[in-house]
Formats: sequence, structure tokens, C-alpha cells
Amino acid sequence: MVYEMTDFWGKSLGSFQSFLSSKTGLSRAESVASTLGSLSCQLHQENFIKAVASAESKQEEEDLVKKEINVVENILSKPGISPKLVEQCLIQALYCEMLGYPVTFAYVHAVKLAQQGNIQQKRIGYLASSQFLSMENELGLLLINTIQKDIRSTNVANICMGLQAVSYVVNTEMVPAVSFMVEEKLKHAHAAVRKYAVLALQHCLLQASNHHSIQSALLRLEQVLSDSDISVVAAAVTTLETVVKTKNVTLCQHLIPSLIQIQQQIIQGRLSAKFEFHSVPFPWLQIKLLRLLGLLCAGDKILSGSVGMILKETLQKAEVNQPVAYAIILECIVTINAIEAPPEMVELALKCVSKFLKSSSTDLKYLGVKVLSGVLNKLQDSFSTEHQDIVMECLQHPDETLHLKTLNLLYVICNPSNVHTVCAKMIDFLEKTHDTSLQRNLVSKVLQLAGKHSSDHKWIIVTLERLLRTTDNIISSESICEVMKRLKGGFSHKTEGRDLMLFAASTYWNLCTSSALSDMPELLIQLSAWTLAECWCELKDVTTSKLQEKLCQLLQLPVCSDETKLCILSSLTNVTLKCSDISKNVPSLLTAFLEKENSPLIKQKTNELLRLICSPDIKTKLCKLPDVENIDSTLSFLDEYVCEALQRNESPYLPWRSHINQHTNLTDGVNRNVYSVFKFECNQSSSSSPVDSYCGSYSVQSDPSFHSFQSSQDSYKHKTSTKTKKVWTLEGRKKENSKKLPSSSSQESFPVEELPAENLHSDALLISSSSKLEEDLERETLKQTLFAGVSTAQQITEVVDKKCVVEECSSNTSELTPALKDLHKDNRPEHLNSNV
Amino acid sequence: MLQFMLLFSRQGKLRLQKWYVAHPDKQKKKITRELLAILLARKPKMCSFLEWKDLKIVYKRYASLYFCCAIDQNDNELLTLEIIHRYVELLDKYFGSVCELDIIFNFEKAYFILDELLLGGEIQETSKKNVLKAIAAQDLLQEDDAVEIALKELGLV
Repeated sequence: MVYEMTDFWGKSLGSFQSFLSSKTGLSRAESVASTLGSLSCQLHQENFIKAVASAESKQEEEDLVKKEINVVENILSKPGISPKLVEQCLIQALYCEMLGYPVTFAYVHAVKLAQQGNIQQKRIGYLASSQFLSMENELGLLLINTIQKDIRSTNVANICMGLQAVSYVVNTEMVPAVSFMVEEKLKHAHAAVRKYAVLALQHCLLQASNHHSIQSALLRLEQVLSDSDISVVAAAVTTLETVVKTKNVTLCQHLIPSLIQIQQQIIQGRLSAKFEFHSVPFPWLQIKLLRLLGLLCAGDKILSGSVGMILKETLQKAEVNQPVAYAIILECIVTINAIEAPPEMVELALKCVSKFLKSSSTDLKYLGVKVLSGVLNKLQDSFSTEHQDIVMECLQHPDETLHLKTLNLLYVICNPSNVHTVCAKMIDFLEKTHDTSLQRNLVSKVLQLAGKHSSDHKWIIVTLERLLRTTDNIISSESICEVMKRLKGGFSHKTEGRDLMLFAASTYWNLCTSSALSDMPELLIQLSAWTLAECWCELKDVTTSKLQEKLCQLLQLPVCSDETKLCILSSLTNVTLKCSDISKNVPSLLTAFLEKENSPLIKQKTNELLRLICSPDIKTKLCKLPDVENIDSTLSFLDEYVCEALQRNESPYLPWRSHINQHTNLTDGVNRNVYSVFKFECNQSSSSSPVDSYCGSYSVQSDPSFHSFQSSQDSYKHKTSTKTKKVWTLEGRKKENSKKLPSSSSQESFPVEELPAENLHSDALLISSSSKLEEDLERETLKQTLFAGVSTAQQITEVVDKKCVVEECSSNTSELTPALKDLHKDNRPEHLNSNV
Repeated sequence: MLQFMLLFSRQGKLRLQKWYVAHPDKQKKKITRELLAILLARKPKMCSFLEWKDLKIVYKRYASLYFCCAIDQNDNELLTLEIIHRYVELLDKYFGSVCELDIIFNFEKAYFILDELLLGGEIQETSKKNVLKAIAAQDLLQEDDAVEIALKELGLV
């Protein structure tokens, strides 16, 4: 806004008039009104802003602003005020609205001012309207007429203002009213008008719901791409990017050749010198174009091939030693990662990434590692030794950020051969960091890797313990349930099952008998209880009574939540059912526990357990159940009974699912009359051992009654050979318990005997105390283990020292010295292609 | 898009803050405090980029001032470094060999220049000449000579 000299004259004269007239005692409103219309208006505004900013309390500010709003309202409500006055009032109103106090009375005046008044007032009017009126406001309709008139006018400034206002006020219904005019202005002589028209068109495109109008607008946009002024082209590219992101990608794919041409023109230096930024031509537009090309070509092989040429040229031209050039190279690599690039393009990208990695600047190293994972996904045979060296260096770098990024890279290249080392590295980092979101991230990564790649259960057990100790509150109980499932699978393995059971049992027994019992994380307690109940019989020196007493002791731990207590109770029940001798102390301990407990579910279970212990005849009945392989899960033997009942017009059975909504109270689902249910379950359950039923998941069946009703028509004895899916297990509605299977990962397996809690620190100490030579050797072995299974261009053959960390490393190297061959446990060449 | 830009000294004093995303005051202070602590603890040879919460932070140290920006996940980090460098170049051209004291005593000018460079978190004008031209025009507006002349003519001063 340029004030002319005459304006100042007018204002200064006006101020003196008011100065003089205020002495003759004019009314306050008039004097304020004349004040507002004068030079001192500026002073008044300044004072107002200062007063509001220095207000001591919100109340004071509110008072000040409300007073000002009243004054403004009074002035505006007078008929026949000058546009100048309206202008000043609107500025005040804008400020008040910005502070959060609505000035709805001023909206209409804003619209009116945009219509009349000279160019400065029109500008204020438009500004106020764009701020006051959202797209839903009906007053926008009043403005449309003004906008239309302005766009059609011959004054360039008017056209620009009109076009700008389009972006603020026009909503979906109003688009047809203005879009035609906007499109016309795309061919205006003045470049600035064309640019504003493109941006107004962007807004219309985003608002338009009609597919046909979108198509026609896109056609116009295409023509704009070949505009002579580069800033208009830049605006068009931005518009395209928005359209591609919000609407269909395929709409714009035919524009790829023109985009390529624009990029070519830029890098060939056809732009004027004023667009050069540190000797790189218009880098912002280059990067935008590359990003757009990436979006358009993603997933399409043919299109990706067509942009290969231009990417190569861009990379070549960006060889200058300027930071901006690196930015362009980075964007190229990101684009290559995003599209289905031909192999030579990916090679080129890899070369650039190598340059980044080798540079001395930490920034470039960081970015190199970041995009390396993307490139490795594309290229099968690329992870050469020098890259490995660099990645190793990054891991040891003191900068934590780089360290983290390298861990991400390792996550991507993880495969069954190196999963142990990768997870170990991740857990090392986990223990050092305190940032919870980072911890959560890493924990989920470790769990995923272990779940996907590792089949070694011992390692899983050990890693899980380590993980639980560091990050107890992050791992969910579902993950623990997953692990339990896997372990169960491992236990039932023909040859290794017993071995695994022994290992697991001894690990957890040692944990439970260690002195640091109060420090044990809750999930670890759950896991120990479950495992011990499964496999304690493998341990020679642990009698049933000892185990039961231990479990009771665990029950008393203050750290146990309800969930954990239920878990321990189930384990106790399991143990009791499996064997006959029960320790004398157990019933008394349980009764004491029962007294302290409040939760009805826990009380019920404890009651059940006590009854079970006290009446051995129920137990014998249970244990004598026949070993049935084929289980009739649809209960077809009852079909006749059901048919008779239905014929008597009794209501059919509703599965438990439909009852769920009726149970609002916790205690509603609890059946207080325990043993009638128990007897009913006895008849129905046909699993061979309590163990199986314990592990059966609580799955609500598809309605069995209808199925059996149907089958009763066909065949009487409908035997299915499906394994039982127990709806009710012997332990009652234990759904929360049976779902507790976490998917935590496991670590490398260490020998069973040494597993005190301090184990995690022992290997750290080991490494730090080694000599320099040993350090180098360590580095080499670590490198071997980290990149095992990842295809390498050249192989290193070195004698690997047998340290416990790398005891189980394996590498898919093709040339091997005889010493290395001994370490090969996992020689699966097909993983080369599938994992990298 | 830039979410915010912070300038602070090596002693942890905030010299300039520009927010392009709305946060309540308390949260702004919290973010500033946390970021300052993290960035001041970093050694000179460390990477200029780091990930913090769900943002990417790009920072660079010029003499005694740290220039720190927060960008979205899909933005180009090296380009943000260039934006910071462009801002420093502008300050340098305007103040002539800018130092921290210039920014302390003329902070409003620093804000004006930043507003000419960045708008809504995106770079608005890359040409140094154009930005400085706009700032010069602003400076002209602020001069009060015209009022003084008018008063003189009327014989009151």
C-alpha cells in the first residue's frame, strides 16, 4: 500500500480539524469517528494494539477489545459513511476477529467495500472478505458478482485481486460460475494474471465434483505447461501435484512427456540468469518436477522407462560441487526408489549413494544410509564390501541419529542368517535410549524380525527375557501370547521338543528362584508361570510341591496385576491336574490369598482350584476321559433332543456372542454356581488331556445348533474330524488368559547354565575390554554376521574367531576357506533373492 | 512444509521463533525447551538432521546462532538447509556482515525478512534481489519525514 503525498496532506489537515474540534466539546462518538478518519487513526490503532498486547489479564483484554468492537459497530451502523472510514473500521475489525472476538456485523461491510471504493479500499475489502468469509458463508454469494466483474475488467490489479479472492470464497456450487472466466484468463497477456489464474484453477479443481469439468480444466492446464513464463509453469506444476495427490493419478499420466521436456529445458540452462540459485538453475522447480514424475510413474514399468533418460541427465548435470546439487541428487535417488526403474538406473542411483556414503560430511552419510535401504530393495546383487565397511562405520559412529538410520537399514536387509545379530544390535540400542516412541518403534521391529525369520526357540526365549527387562510396559500381552503359541509348537516337536522343554524349564526356574524376584517384569512372570506348568516335569530336581509353592509365592508378589494372577492360577490348576501329589501348604496359602482378593473372577478361580485340590475324585474322573481323536463339535448326538424341543416351540440356542451386549457388569458373566457348570463341561469336553484344553483358544463358534439341526435331517451320526475348538475350557471363561500370547522376539541362545540377570552386561564388558587387534577381528566377525545372507559382490574370506556372540553366524559365501565351512548351519541360497 | 523455525544462541536464549502450525502457547514453550536441550547437546561433527517425535529437524550453526527448522516427513532435508542458508544470506546482505547483535537489536527486521522469504511454511521468493527490494520499500514507508514536513508547513514545528 503506497500512500501518496496528497493523502498525507489530507490526513494531517484532518487531524488538526479534529484536534481543534475536540476542544469545542463534540460528542465522544463523533470525535472518535473523526479521529478514526484521520492521520491519528494510525496512532489510535497503534495504541489499541499496544494496549491489548500489554493487557495484564484475559479479562482486561476482553474489555478493551469489546469496547473497540462497540465503537466500530456504532460507526458502521450509521448510514452514508465514507469508504475511507469503512476501511479503517474494517482494519480494526480484522484485528479483533484475529484475536478471536467475532465481528459478524462487519462481514457485510467488507463485501460492500470490495465492490465500491478505490483500488486501495477494494484491496482492504477483499482482504477482509477472504479472512471473514469461509467457504460455507452465504455472504460469499454476494461477493461472486464483484469477483466476476473484477475478473472481466481491464485493470490488471483488479483481475489479480478477483482471482485471488476465488481461492478463499468459492465453494463447490459456485465453481461453475467462475471457472469459465478463470480459464479464459489463462491466456491473458500479463504473466502475473496467468499465474493467479492457474492458482484459482487449482482451487476450482479441488472443489469440483463433476468429472467432466475436471477433464476440461486439465486440458487447459496442459496448455499452460508450455507457457513462455517459467513462474506460470511452476504454478501449473504445483497444481498438477495437488491434483495427482488428491484425485486420480491416471488423469495426468499423459502429461509425462511435457514434464520431461520442461525439466530438460531447465537443466540445459535455457532459463534466464535470474533463476539461478548458486549456479544451479531453479532447483525448487526441478525437485518439484522430479517428485511429480515419481508420483505419476509409480508402479508402472513402461512409464518408468520413459523417465529414465531425464533422470540420468539430471544426475549428470547435478555434478557441481554445490549443496543444492546434492539436494537434487537426493531427490533423483528418491524418485528412482519410488518408480519401477530399469536396472541401469538403479546402478546409477547406487553409485550416487556410494558417493554420499563415502563423503566426510555426516549429513550426506545420513542421507546415504537412509536411501540405501530403498535402493537395496530394488537391486539383487549390490551390497558390496565397501558398502558394508561404510555401514559398519556408521554403526560405530558417535552420532546417535546415524546409528538409528543404520539400524533401519539392517532391519530391511534382515534375513534368517543374520537376524540374531541384528536383533542383538537393536536391543543394545534400546537399552541406551530413553525416548519412548523410539523404544516402541524398535521393539516392534525386533518382534517382527524374530517372528519372520527366526525358528530357533531357545534364542527366542533368551531374547524375550532381555527385551522384557528393558521395556516391560511397551510389549503387549498379545505378543506374549504369540510367543507362547510358538513355544508350544516347539515343545511338541518330535526330536527337539524335550530338549527345548528342558531349556525353557530350567531358564524360568532359575529366574523364579533368583533373589531379584521383586524386579521381575510382569509379563516375564506370566511367561515363566505358563512355561513351568508345561515343562516342569523335565526338571529332575524340582518336585511338584516345590513348584506349587513357588507359584503361590509368585501370586503374592505386589507387582502382579489381575491378568498375571489369573495366569498363575491357571498354571497352578494345570500342575494340580497333571500330577497327584500336592504340597500341604498350598491350600492354606491359597485360602489366605483368597481372603485378600477383591476381584470376583480371581476369587472364583481360586475357589475352583481349592475344590479341585480338596476333592481328588473329580480329578480322577477328569483324567480318565477317553482319548478321542474324532470330535463331534456340532454335538450331533443331541440332535434328536434338539429337534424335539424345537417342535415343542422352545426357543433355539443363541450363541454367546449375542449375549455379549447384555453383560454390562463384570460380575454378570461370572457363574457363581461353579460345579453345575463344571459337570456340564465334563460331558461335553472330549479333549484328551487338560493341557490341550488349556491352550485352546476361546473362539466363539459359528452357531452349532443350526448346523446340527440341518445335519440331523441328513445323517444321524455326523462325525467331523476337526480338532476341538473349545468354547469352554476346564478352567472356565478364561478368555483373557488364553489370548495372552505375545509376539516378542528372541535373542541368540546362550548356554543354559549361565543365565543370571546380569547376563546382558557380560558380553558388553567382554567387547570393551578386548585389545585393538581383537577389536578389529571383532569388527570383521560382526560384519560377517550382519551381512550374512545378503548377497555380496566379492566375498571376504577370513578366519572367524569363535566368540560366543557369533557362535551361530552363518554366511552364504561362495568361496570359503575350510575353517569357515564348520560354521555353516544355514546354507539356503534361495534366500539370496528373496530377502535383499 | 516448514512447521516452525527457531533461532537461538549457544547459551540457549531464543532469538527468533516463527510458527507455521498452530499450537497453544504452553505446547510451543515445551517444544522449544525440549528441542533446545537436544540440539545444544549435539557435538559439532554430528549430522544436521535428526528425527524427533514425528518431525524431521534440520539445524545449522552459524557463528553463535543455531538456525533450526522442523519439516514434514517427505520433505527434502538438503533443500531445507539451502533455505536456511538463503535466509542467512539475506540477513547478511541487509545488515552488512550480520552478527547476533544485529538480530537482537533489529529483531523486527529479521521477522520481516523471514516473512518475505517464507509464507505458510513454504518458500515464497527465492530471488535475493526481490526480497531485498521489498524490504527496502517497507523501510521507506516507515519513515516519518512526510508528517514532519506537513507540520512544518503549517508553522507548528
